Amino acid sequence: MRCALVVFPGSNCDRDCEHVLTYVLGAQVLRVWHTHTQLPAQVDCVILPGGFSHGDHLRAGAIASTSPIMRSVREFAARGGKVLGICNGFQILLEAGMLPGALLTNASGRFVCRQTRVLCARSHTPFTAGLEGQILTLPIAHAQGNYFIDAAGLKTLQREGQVVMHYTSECSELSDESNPNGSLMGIAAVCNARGNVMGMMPHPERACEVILGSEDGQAILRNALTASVQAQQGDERE
Amino acid sequence: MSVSELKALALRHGLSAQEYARIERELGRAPTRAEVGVFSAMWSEHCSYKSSRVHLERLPTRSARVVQGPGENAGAVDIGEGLVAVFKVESHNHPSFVEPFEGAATGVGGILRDIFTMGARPIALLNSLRFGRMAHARTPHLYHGVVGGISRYGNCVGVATVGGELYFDACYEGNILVNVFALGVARREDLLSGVASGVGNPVFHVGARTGRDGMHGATMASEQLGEESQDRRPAVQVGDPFREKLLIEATLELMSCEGLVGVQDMGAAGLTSAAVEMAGCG
Repeated sequence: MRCALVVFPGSNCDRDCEHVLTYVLGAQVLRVWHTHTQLPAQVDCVILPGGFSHGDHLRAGAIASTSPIMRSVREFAARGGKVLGICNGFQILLEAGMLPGALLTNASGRFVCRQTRVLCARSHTPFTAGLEGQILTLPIAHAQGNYFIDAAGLKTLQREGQVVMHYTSECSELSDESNPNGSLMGIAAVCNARGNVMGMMPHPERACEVILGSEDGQAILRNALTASVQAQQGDERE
Repeated sequence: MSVSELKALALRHGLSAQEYARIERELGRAPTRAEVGVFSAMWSEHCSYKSSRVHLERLPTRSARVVQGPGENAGAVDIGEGLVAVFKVESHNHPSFVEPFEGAATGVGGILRDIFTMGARPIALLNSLRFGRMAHARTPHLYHGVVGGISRYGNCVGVATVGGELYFDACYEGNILVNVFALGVARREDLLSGVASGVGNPVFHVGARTGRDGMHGATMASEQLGEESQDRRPAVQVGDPFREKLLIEATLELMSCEGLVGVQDMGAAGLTSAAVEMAGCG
């Protein structure tokens, strides 16, 4: 299992990801600096970690999305490779146009840092294979995680099964109370049409060891390393 | 500048008449304008702990586990397996009272620098806060600003705020307390010090761009606060957590380079105190 971890100036969850992937999941992690133009060969997935790439200047993820390495990430995704963006990584994938929608400032106008419960929806993405219908406990820490997409875009997302996770309450209901940032439909994660590119606001890497209060993030990162992208229909949708 | 003007300048910068007399005695002449600036910063309460030193000296600082006691950027305690815990607590009361968001944020930035300039990677932040009653007119503004500044800076720079304590009481209405603590971990043999020795060594001055914000910060931090404190807003520095994150990584990467003699945080008094403190230790 080999994973490329892209590090931008201001990334700050890269070491957490590296720790979990290496010591908890036993993967080989290859750190890739943003100025590189080529991803390492034969990696099972590419992860864009959280943080404040380029200090969130302009817009969160905007500058990082034009980094030299992103061309190679785009090509990797076009070949069907798995790309996971976490928090700022999600923002970068949106800015790069690799995922639909946008992340606005939290409805509260404030930075929010807390444990959330997310319901894995039915989707064809490999990242949540075997997790459909399950509720995971994962932490969030962001000021701009308020997911938005226009009505037509939302319809497409729902039709194509691109909504991967919703924030949820104890009784697995979508409610304003359980929605920590005002996201449309409580959306916490989305994927592209083919399912091989996913962005999520919660931090699975912060929930992989009992001592940190949850191990629910393990399954997602393990899927990132091992689950295969479903070939059916995917290429047509693209 | 005449001697009487210099003396007036020194008093405006927070030195007492006795302290000014002592400067003249030590130098055997009147100080220059630049020297008044150096002394006013170095002899400020913020830099010299002149009034709190007697209390600080009563705290225990020696043990078989203490690897680094007072005198460096931060203390270090042996935690076994070749590792040391490096930590420090510092107040940012006055800047936070004048400009709560940036004051508290730069307090976090300052305490983190003390940790990584020791060669340790910062891993956790704590804070201890005291405000006036919520019913007091300024308290909500101060409270939201301070809490926002701490959380914003810690999140941007990537060091978790793992806990804190908070009290409200009328006695803090005119003088809030904002104490921040940072913890780092290092291999014992990797610890750096702020000692500069040797002649002809180049000095590198790295970090976020310095502007006119923060000028006279050390002297402001040492004054009694009053109604006119609002006018001191420009003396509060504006933080840049993104630059500091880059500085953390650059400093820790530098540790593996040969030829690094010492590293010193540039605190409130900036170059004035960093250079003098390093040379003074060497």
